[in-house]
Amino acid sequence: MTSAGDNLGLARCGLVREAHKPSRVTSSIGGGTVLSEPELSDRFKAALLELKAEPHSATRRENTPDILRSVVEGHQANRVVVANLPAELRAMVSGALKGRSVQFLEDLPSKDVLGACAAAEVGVTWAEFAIAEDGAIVEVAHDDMVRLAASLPIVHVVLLPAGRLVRDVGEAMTVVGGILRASGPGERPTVTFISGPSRTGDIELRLLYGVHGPHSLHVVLLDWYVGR
Amino acid sequence: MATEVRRSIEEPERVGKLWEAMERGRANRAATIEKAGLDLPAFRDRVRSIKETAAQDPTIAEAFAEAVRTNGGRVFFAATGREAVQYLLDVCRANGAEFLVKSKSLTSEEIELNQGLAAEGIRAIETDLGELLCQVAGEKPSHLVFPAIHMTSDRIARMLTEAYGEPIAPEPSSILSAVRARLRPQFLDAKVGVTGANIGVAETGSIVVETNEGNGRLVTSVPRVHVALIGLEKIVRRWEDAADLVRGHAISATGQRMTVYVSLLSRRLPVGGDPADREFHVVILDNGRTRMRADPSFRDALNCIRCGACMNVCPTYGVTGGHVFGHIYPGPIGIPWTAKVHGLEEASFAHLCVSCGLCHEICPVDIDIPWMIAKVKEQDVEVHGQPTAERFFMASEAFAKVACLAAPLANGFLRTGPARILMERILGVDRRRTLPPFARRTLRSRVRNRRATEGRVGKVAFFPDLYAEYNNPDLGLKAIEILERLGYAVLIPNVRWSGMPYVSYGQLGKASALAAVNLRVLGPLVDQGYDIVSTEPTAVYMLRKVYPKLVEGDLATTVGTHSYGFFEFIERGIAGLPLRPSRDVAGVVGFHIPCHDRALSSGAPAMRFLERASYRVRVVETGTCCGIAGTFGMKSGWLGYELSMAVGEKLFEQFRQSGCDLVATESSVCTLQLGDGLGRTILHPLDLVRLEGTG
Repeated sequence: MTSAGDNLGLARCGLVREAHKPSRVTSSIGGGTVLSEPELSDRFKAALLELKAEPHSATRRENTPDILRSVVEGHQANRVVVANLPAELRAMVSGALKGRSVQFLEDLPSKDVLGACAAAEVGVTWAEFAIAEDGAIVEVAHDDMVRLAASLPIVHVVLLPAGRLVRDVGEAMTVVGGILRASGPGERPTVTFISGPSRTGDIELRLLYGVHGPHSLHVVLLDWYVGR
Repeated sequence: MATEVRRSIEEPERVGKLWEAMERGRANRAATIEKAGLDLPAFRDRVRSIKETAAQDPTIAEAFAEAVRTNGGRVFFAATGREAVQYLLDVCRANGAEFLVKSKSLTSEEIELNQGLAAEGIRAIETDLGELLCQVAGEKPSHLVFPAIHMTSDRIARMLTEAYGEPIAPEPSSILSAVRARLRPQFLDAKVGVTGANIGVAETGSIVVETNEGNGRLVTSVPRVHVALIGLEKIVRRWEDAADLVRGHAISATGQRMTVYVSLLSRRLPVGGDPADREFHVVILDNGRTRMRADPSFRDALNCIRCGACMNVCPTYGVTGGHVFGHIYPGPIGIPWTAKVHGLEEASFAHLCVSCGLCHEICPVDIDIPWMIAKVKEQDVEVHGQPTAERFFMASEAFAKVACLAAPLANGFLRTGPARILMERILGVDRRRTLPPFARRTLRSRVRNRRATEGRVGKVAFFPDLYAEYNNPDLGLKAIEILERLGYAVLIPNVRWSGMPYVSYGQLGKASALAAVNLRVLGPLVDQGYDIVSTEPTAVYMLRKVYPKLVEGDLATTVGTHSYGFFEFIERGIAGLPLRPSRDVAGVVGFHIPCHDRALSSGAPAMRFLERASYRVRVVETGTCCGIAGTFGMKSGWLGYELSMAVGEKLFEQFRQSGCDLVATESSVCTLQLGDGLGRTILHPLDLVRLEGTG
C-alpha cells in the first residue's frame, strides 16, 4: 500500500531525526566553529556527485598538481584566473598549470580584474569549509574578485581542506553568523553557499547547466592541508 | 473569467506542461523531505515562529536598517511601490545608467518596476532565463518558479531568433548558449544591478539572495551599484533564523535541498582592492504590508516565504495557470496578497479557488490560505453579488429536506433530461452532473425505531451531514451498527449540516451562525463524555479545522478535538470486529483520498480497515483534488463542471491505467466525480465489508 498522503510529503510521511550533537571540534575561523566527523566526507562527495559537481581527492601534496592539470586539460582551457588561495598554495597552482595563462588576481591592477575574469575559461578559488549533507562549498570573499573568478568562467575549480565540513545548513549558518558577527561593520565578507554548477529548468523543465555561471564545478578536497 | 478558463482548458499542450511542472515539484519536494529525514511538523513550527516574529515585529526592520547603514549601505523606506520605483529612477540617473540588470524579484514585479523605469527611458533587463523569456515575449510569468513554463522550445527559438537577429536552433542547449552570449556583455556593462532579497538579517544588516542560474552573483558583483528590494516582512533577527528559511525555500520551490547559489551580502566589497564608488542600497518596501499586519484576517499572508508550493498543489491553478489564476502574485497565496496589495478588483480570480484546502496542507509556514481566500470571497460577493448556483448550493439542506419528503418524485425529476435543462437554466446546476438520489426515509427517522444499546466503551454522537441523512441512510446505519458492536452508545444529535458551501462561497456570516447552532448542540454532549464521529470527511474537517475559525472561544476548539473521522475513531477497537469482505478480494481496491481528509488522516485508517477485511488497497492519486470540490463541480459551465472535469481528467486517467478492480472513497462528492469521470460504480469502504452475524 502506498503510504497515505505521500504525494504531498506532509506530516504523515516526515521522519523524525534525533537532534544532531557535534562530536568533535577541529578548527575555527573568524569567530565561527567548524566541526568535522569522518563519515561526513563520504556524504559530501556523494552529495556533490548528485548535484553534478565533480569531487577530486587530493590525498597527498604531490598528486595535487596532477589533479589540477588534468581538470584544466579536460576542459581544453588555456586561460585561468586564480583568487583567494592561501599563499603557500599559489606556487603549486602556477607550477601545475605551467604553459598556460595563469593570472593571480591579487597581482593585477584592480581595473584589469573584471576583464581577466571575463576572458578566463577557468576560475580557481578557495572554500573556507563545506556543508556535507547539502554538497555545498562555502566561499568567504572579502573582495569581489573572488566572486567574479568563481562566476564568470565556464569552469570553476574550488580548493577545500578535506576535513573542514559541517553537517547541514543549520550548522553552516551558526558558523557564518559567528564570522559575520565577529567582523566589524565595514569588514563583513560576502559569504556564498555554492551547491553545484549554475543550472536552470526554465525551458520545458529540462535541467540544463551553465546558464550564467559555470557549467562545471570541480571540488578538490585537500586531505593533506588543514587550512590557513 | 469564464472565457479565460475556457481558453486554458482548450490548450491541452500548455496545461500538460504546467501540470508536469507541478507534479515534479511535489514529487521532488516529497523525495527531498524524506531523504533529508526532515521532521516536517517540527520544521513547520520553527519556520512559522521565525516568520511570525519577522512579519509582526516592526522593530526588526528598524534594527536591520540601522545595521545596513552601519555597514556603509544606504536605506530607503518606501511606503508605496511608486516611491520605490522613483528611488530606483533616481539611483539610475545619479549613476548615468540607461539600463540595469535584474535578477528575479517578485517584489519588483509587485511594484511594476520595469514598466515604471521604461516610462522614464530606462531599460530593466531580466537576467533569470524564464523571466527574460517572458520579457522578450511581452507576457506575464505563468508560474512562480518556472515563469516561462507555458512556452515550448520551438516557440522560444523562433522568438529569440527574431529578437536577437540571428538563427537559434530549437534545442534547449542552443537557446541557453545564445542567451548566455547575449547577456554577458550586458552584465559587464551594467552600472546598476537590482535584486530582490529572500531574507534580511537584522543583526548584521545583511541580505540573502538565492538563485540557481548564478545571475544573482553577477548582478551583485559586476555593477558598481547594487540595489536590493526587500519587503519589510522578510527580515529576521538572527542568522540562525535564516537557516530554516534557506532550507524551506529550496525544498518547497523545486525540491532541491538548497538553492545552488545562496549569497549572504552585507556590504559592497572592493574589486581588486579598490573600493571606489561601490554602492549598496536597500529599499525596504511597505506597499500595504503594515496595513496587512494590522488586519487580523490577513496578517497570516505576511508569513509567506514565496516558495510556490501552494501553486504546485492547487487543482484549478494547474489547469488555468498563472495568467488566469493570478494578477501579479499567482496561485492560492496570490489571492490574499492581490486583494490587500493591489485591491479587491484585481482579486476576482479568488472564485477559481475550490476550497479543497490543500494549499494549507502543503504550506511550509502552515499559513491558513483557504481561510484568507474565504475572506476575500466574502468581500467580493458583498460588492459583486452571488451567482444563483452558489445560492442554491448554500440552500442544499433545505432542498434535501423537501426532496426527501417526496423522494420518488424528486428522484424522477432529477433523472429527467428536460427537468435538468430547466434546473441548469434557472439554478445553474450543470445538467451533465449526476446528483445522488434521495432516500424515502432519512437516517434519523430510521434510527428512531431502533432499540438504543448500552455503551460499554463510550458514547458517540454520530454527525450524519447531508449525505448519510438524506441520500444514503444505509451508510449511516451501517456505521452506527459497527459503533454499537464496538460497545459505543450512539445517538444522532439534533444538529444541522456542516455547511461547507457557506465557506466555499464566501458567506462567512452564515457559516458562523450555522457553526454556532451546531456547537450549542455538540458542546454539552462533549461535556457529557460523547465523542463526535462522522463518515463524511468534509464534516470532520469543518468541525475540527473550520469551526474554531468561525466561532471564537473554547467551545469550538473543545468540540473540534473530540471530533473524529469514522475509520479513525473505530481503529482502536477494530481487532474485535468480525469483518468479512462483501466483494471478491482477488482484485485490487483503488483508493481515492478526499482533499479534506488530507488535513485529517489522509485516508490511512479507512485503507487499513479494508486491508483488515482482506483487500489489497492501492492509493490512486495525482497529488491534488479530484476536481469536484464539494459543489463547485456541480455548477454549470466553465467556472464549474467544465473546469472540474478538466482537473479530474488526470485522476480518471490514472484510475483507468491502474487496473484496479474496485474504486473506493469516503467522500460523498468525490464519489459523484469519480462516478461521472469513470462511468463505473464508486464504493464507500463500508460497502466493501459485512459484519459476520448480519446480512
